[in-house]
Amino acid sequence: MAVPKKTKKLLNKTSPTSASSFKTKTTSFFAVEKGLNEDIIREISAQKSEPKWMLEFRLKSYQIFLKKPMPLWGADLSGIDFDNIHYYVRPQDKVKRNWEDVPTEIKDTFEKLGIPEAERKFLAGSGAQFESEMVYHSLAENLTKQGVIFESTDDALKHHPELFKKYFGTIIPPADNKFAALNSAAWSGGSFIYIPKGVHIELPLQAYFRINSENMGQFERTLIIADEGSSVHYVEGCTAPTYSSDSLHSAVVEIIVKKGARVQYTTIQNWSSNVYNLVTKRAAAYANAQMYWLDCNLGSKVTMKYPSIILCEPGARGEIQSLAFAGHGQHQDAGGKVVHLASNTSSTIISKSISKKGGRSTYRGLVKVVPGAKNVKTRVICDALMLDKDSSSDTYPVMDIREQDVSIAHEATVAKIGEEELFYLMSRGLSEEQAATLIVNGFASPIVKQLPMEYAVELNRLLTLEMTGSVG
Amino acid sequence: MQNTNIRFLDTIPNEIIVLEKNSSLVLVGLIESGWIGQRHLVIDAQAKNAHCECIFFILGKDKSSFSARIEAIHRAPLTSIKARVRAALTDSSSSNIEGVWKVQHKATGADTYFSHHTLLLSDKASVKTAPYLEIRTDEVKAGHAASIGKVDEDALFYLLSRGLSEKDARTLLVEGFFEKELSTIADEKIVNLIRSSIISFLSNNKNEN
Repeated sequence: MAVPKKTKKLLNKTSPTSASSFKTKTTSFFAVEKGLNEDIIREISAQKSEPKWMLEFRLKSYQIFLKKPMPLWGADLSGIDFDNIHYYVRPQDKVKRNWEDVPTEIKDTFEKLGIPEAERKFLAGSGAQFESEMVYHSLAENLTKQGVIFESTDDALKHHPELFKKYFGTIIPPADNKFAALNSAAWSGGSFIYIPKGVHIELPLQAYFRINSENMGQFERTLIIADEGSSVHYVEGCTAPTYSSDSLHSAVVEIIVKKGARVQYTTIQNWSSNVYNLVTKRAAAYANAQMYWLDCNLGSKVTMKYPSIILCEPGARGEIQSLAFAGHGQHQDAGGKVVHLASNTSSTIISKSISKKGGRSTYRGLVKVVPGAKNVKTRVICDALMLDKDSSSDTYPVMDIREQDVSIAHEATVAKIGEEELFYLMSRGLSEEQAATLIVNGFASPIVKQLPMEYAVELNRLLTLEMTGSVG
Repeated sequence: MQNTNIRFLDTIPNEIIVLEKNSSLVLVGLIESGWIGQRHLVIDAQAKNAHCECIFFILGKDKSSFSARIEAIHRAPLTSIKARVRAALTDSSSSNIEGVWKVQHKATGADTYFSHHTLLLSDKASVKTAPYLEIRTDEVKAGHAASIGKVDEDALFYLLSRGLSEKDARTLLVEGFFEKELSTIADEKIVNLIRSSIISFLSNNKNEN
């Protein structure tokens, strides 16, 4: 695929400073000491003036967290020291609605990342999370009038207690896994979105997550409810500066897609290479609803993330597309899961991974069809590209099919950059690095094309950055 | 030119097969009776230029269960291990095949492939397939494929419209499903044996679909 001139120009502008190369000096408004215990959980809950049921939920989740063993089936998590993490850091006193009101040093951070600029250009609303709290949330006025809610999850608990309680923790209960339990105990921030019946949000909503402190744990909690016949596209981006010791990002994202609704959830994860990114994401799609996860993982030390879709009622459709780039010292353990519980449901999983300089990328997926779910169609495609002999690629798909009336197809390939392709491009005057970058961009382009234009440019830029110095 | 050695099996054996240098082995399995628990077959390509090809046909009926973990390990350069499993399941039979394909760092030039295709011929039959790949070098040709489904409705309609009875049409389609793999086996005697087993399996099939 030829790179458009506009993109090329933008790529050339790429400055050597990336999102992880700077850190902001801030004075936190409030921070709890390192480690997690019941007192700290009570303190977090009190700081947020939460209702009693939420404190009980947190304490119960903490007990589950303590009982659950560390998962041993995936990436190496032995480097996580739960006692050396700040579980709650509050950068300011409350969520701001005007960008001008955000403290200067935090504002500077996000301005360096280009966040408010993105909002002015093409977003219907945006939020920014710094450490544990959302520092900023805004929504276009016409959407507020239509009854759309886009707030920090903490604010939503205060402002919409009934709606909140009805859905919170229903898709991912605390006992789901150790890190979901940890998040349930220590959660803070994240976005709460409610789209009323029949409302279509044309432009994407965006949230940006930034870890700034060292040894920080970010546990945001996102809950999206798309009521009947509505639609929304939510985009999240994540970065952190590089420190010598590790940080932990363990989010929980729950999505409810009601009858005939559509939700697209796009992630561009570019954490610095000392962040453990262990995220649980799951959506329930009801009759004729559509759920679409678009998941791009470039950064972090270890990512374990398998966006899931439960197709609960007839006619529901799910799609998961993911792109992973594992560089030196990185392990991207990503994939997707789809459970077909009803007839006439269909799903597609497309995964593309790139490994270089000893990086390891893993696809882990599940397709399950229960008895009685008739006329189910699924397609799973995994492609891996390896850039050198020191890198690794794993594929672990599982298909568990208990119904006859299905059509299930899976295929996977692992390949390196073709000598002929390289030779052809170099004979046209490209350097080896340029040629390899072009091939990687071409490999990723089916996924990149699904992104909104600004993000596609950003992702191509990130891929180019990752490729710099990868040859020779 | 290396000699190809063909082994004809009636099950997936609990066995570790070590492939020697410059050797070539073909395993053909016609598997009609199930077993309890999980079998574990390991194909270990320890030496250079070793090749192995496995072609398994599973014909499941009644409550038989076919559960196996097939592990292929490429340890040396220029090795190839390819396995193709085709299963037709009737009644309440089930198959659970885990294909674990490993290419180690030293095994440059490895050529590796695993496929598991299943035809479900009854609404009580079930299948679980897990084709794993662990690749530790880039000098490799690796792939896997899996599919699960019932007899293709469009193909069935076409045959019915040509005047075939439903039973004959279904039999023809299931035979066609296996024929693709049969044509790759060189030994004519084995091919005929498998073909006649498939035909008698289908004529005894009590299921309507």
